[in-house]
Amino acid sequence: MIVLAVDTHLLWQVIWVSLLAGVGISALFSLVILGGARAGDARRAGRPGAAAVYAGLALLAFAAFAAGVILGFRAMITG
Amino acid sequence: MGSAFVAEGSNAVFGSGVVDKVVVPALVAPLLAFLVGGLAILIAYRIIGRQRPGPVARGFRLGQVLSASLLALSHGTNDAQKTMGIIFLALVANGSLAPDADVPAWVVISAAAAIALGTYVGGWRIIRTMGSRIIKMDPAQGFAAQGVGAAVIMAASHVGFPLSTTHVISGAIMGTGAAKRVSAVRWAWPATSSRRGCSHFPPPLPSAGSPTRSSPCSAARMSARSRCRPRCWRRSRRRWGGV
Repeated sequence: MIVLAVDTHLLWQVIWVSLLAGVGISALFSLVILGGARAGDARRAGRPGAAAVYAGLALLAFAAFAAGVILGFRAMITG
Repeated sequence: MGSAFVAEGSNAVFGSGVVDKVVVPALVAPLLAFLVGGLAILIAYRIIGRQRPGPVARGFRLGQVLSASLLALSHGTNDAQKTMGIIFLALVANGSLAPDADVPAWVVISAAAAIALGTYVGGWRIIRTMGSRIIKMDPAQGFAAQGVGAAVIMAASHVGFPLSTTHVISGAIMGTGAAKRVSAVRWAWPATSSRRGCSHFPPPLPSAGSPTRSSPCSAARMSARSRCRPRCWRRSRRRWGGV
């Protein structure tokens, strides 16, 4: 009876969006920190190539993180 | 619900709407935040691996500015709407507004101002409870909990589910703590505090000659103090900044 009353479609939507966004935000920001930390280490160790690669990884991850946040914000204000 | 039930009887309350829009989301959301919070922090720790803790903590501390802003935004999108809904309902019931009218701008502005002001002036006890009395949180856990809390609340707000932001963020904090170590979570804390009717246990000891530290929970504090061993209280004093 209770199960019939629940809109399972909306509930599943909340579950998968929360899972994707929650894990995605944390994973992407962790990649930003990882890239930044390793880029610093590589620069100090005199490996400019590796430093550039890690800095690029950090930038890409931050761009994806920012895009996710903006997308979520847009979905909120237009929905 | 209570006022409608008393005024109009059981027919005035839509049981299916209560279950569908209130009860189920209220039960699911904290559990969802717990699970997603645990998964998020496990993945974050896995990615960070064995990096030096200093830069990692600094990075996540910076990230917490963003995640806290997101959480504040999501808090407003859910909690302020509930306040506005009640004011709107009162205006419609009074005949001041048509049921299909838009929410007046003054309602939006006053609800936003009230929630911002309340957050600004009254939050320290809640902040302390969330930040240090459920788990001993590191910046990565704080970032993950705030991000997950914001994601759950925003997703629920988008489909029109009203939630308790407190329960969602508590679930996320417990999830990030339990994923690291199950015993790191003070599972009994909420039960202990609600049993005592006290929102700040273990309490800071009042300093000598300082009546300003008294609170409605003074009696509970003193009786707890009398039951507690001296070593326990020395530890409590250090932890909670008592004198």
